[in-house]
Amino acid sequence: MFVATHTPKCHDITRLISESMDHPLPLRTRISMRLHYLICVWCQRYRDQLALLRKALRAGPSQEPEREHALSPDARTRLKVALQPKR
Amino acid sequence: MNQPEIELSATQAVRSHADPDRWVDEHGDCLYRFALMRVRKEEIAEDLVQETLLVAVRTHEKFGGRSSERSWLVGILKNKICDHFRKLGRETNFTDLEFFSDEHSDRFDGENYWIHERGPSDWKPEGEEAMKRAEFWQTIQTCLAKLPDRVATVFTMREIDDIPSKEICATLNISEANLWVMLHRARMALRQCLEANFFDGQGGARL
Repeated sequence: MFVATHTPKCHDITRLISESMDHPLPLRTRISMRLHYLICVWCQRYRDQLALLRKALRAGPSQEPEREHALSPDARTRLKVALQPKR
Repeated sequence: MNQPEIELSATQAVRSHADPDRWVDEHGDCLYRFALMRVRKEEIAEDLVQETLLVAVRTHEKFGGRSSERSWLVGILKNKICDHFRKLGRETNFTDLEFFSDEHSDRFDGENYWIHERGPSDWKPEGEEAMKRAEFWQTIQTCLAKLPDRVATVFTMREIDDIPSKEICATLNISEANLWVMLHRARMALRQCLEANFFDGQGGARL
């Protein structure tokens, strides 16, 4: 009960979790977040899931988007024409 | 001239000439996809690829084959993309205000705690193992495509290109506070989309 009333609400925790991925948070804030996780499995999951997302995006095949996207034959021609040396 | 000298001259002649046609064939798609993911518009992506190859033609002699041809071209493209965003940041308001509306407020109760049934579900036991499955990446791509353009740009700069916050802000001419809100919304939306369309359905296609 103490922890529930003395740590940020879940909505704010989700915002803080996101911010912690972009800049360091003050120690006091980090401690209050850790206390919150003790009583809130959903915010724990949220934290773990954003970490998984980051890991996947930095490591994975999404480095190149769907293979469907490709230069159309027209686009290829346009490019080659544009790159021809001017005489 | 005897044979070896003729051959050497021919090789040198080939190396010192840029070959844009071959570059389009071998690297065009890759460069295009790289740009498209970040700028989100086909015409712009094509323009950036063209500008990249024009620079490559001009500076080919300086290249000297230190790295792979593709990574050299991608390097030029990255600069062109950066220039594009700097220009966009000067000319438009890059903050996506519409996306600020809180689409996820129905998951929290009146006190701003998670509503238990609507909170994040358990992604285990699969967890990180999901990254080995093609459906996982397909879902991520589809979910990324759902993000509004400006938010997606900011998100890919931060999460895929790992550009520091301050640099994104300087390039796009936005405040750090705006950046963090956009990233928060993007992450929340992406997490929710991935959960609904991959983890909760055990990877079934519900998109």
